Amino acid sequence: MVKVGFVAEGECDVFILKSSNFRALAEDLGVYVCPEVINAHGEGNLRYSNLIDFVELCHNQPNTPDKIIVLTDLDTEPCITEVKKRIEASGTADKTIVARKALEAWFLADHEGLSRYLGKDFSIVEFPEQTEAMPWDDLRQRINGMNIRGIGQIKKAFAKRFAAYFSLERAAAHPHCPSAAYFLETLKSIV
Amino acid sequence: MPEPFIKYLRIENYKSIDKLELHDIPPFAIFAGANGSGKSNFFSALMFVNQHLRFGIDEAFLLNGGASDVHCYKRLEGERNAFEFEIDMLCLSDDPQKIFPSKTSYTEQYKLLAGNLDSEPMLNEWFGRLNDGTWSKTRAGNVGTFHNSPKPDFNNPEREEIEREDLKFPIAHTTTLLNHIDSKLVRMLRTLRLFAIHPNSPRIDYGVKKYDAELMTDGHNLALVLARLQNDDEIRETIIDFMQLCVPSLENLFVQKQSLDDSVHILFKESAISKEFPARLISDGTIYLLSLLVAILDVKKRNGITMIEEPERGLHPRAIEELIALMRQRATPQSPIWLSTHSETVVRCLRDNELWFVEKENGATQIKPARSFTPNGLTRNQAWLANGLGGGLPW
Repeated sequence: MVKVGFVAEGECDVFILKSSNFRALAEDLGVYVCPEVINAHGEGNLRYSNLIDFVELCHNQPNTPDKIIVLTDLDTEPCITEVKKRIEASGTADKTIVARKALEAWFLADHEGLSRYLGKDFSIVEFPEQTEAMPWDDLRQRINGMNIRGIGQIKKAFAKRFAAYFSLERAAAHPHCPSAAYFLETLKSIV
Repeated sequence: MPEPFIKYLRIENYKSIDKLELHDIPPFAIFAGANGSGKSNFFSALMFVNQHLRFGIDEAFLLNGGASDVHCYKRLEGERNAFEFEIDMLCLSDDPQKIFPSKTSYTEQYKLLAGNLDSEPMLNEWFGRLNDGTWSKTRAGNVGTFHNSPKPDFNNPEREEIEREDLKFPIAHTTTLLNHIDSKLVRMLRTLRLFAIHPNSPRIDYGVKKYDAELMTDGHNLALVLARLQNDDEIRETIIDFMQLCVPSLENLFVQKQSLDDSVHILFKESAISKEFPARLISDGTIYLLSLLVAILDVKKRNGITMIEEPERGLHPRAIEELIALMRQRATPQSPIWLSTHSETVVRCLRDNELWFVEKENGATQIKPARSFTPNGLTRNQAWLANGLGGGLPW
């Protein structure tokens, strides 16, 4: 079992990475998720030199990770390669995963998980990483359009609840969600 | 960048305020400063005007401890006889009244002079709307007098100024010239609310016949207001979401009416514990957070500024961050939110133009906007405490 530590962009990622669903999937792949997921808390914290400090914090946890993965959002940055390059140039992390646009794109890609959560069929989103609005706003619009409650106004509260329903495997299996597929592949190949 | 909605604000001769002038205050504004700098007095001065509009000037003085407690203690005798207030508010023309149909926005102004404080108080008020640089639809009155127009026609653009005949009224019965004016500025001033919540106050269980229309300043009627809000799906959902996010052990909360005495209780359900907890057994921070959420969310019937004293008290930094994000999202020109704070966490979460510094200059309160923040390597709170934002420090 390879011990993997995570540095994440914000709370939503933390809820997913700490969920029992994700841990179970990781264990099946031979990955032990180190319990202290480091939360860089967004707002550009992973863009500057303090990335090194966050990775150091991750290394310093009692159950020292063998490898470290940085998981971040593209947000409104235009170029996915630039974000990866900037983080990888620091030389501190073993792998960088950039969730295209924002992590919530993965939620959109898991229509089965959303259907289970809502108790009602959630239509397949053809291009979850290319929504016009940010994925969270797109998701809200779609769920509100279904005339049911359950998404609320607070993104983190939703992510916390939905973490119990989300499956990375399902999101990765979506034909147009390459960042989720890349994340799953990374987990498989890091062992 | 937030759009300013208060274009100008002037307060004179109120407690630590000698003469205070502010320009371009946005709907979400945070006032930081050393202890004793006058943050509370600033909010209190606005509430004084609110009380005058709701209850009359006599009552406003009584509620504030009388004229001797209201005037600026820095002023010499003879200079402390008049309280003055002036406000210019930017209004968007989305009103069915169509005040100025061709305009997207216009300015409303209210001026108040309460004079002769040491003998027979006198009032002088002015209300006007500014259109293309000229005042129209004005209203003015003096000295315990009131107009005798049956109902002033402020919406008639033909009339530059409405003629009136003053009638003498005893000051005790005098309300305000704004009584018959339907305007956004008047509604805003009338529905200002100040919250200085004490965690012990909301723990009280209340009979259903008590006041539930809005949360009181110290939060003591929280159970009743929550009982009313149980029927509002959106507010109830947001409150539960927020509480579950910030209080990890919390599963649910609800309000229960006792059949014996009709009293109302808040009950909290924690995960892994089968029985519910009454409010008196819940942590200060949890009760405080719940009270703040109600203060922020329950604004449908009003559009006055919601002013909150030190919302950060007893809260985890992550909860404070979420609270600030929620407040920013909710603060609009229709329902602005202004806070006072000492918290580094609050300041760290702020954006340009949201932070204002309150300071004493020559013993009198002054307020100014913080400088915008630029260095990439520092957070806003670090820049503030390093004295890099232009004030808000005790030394």
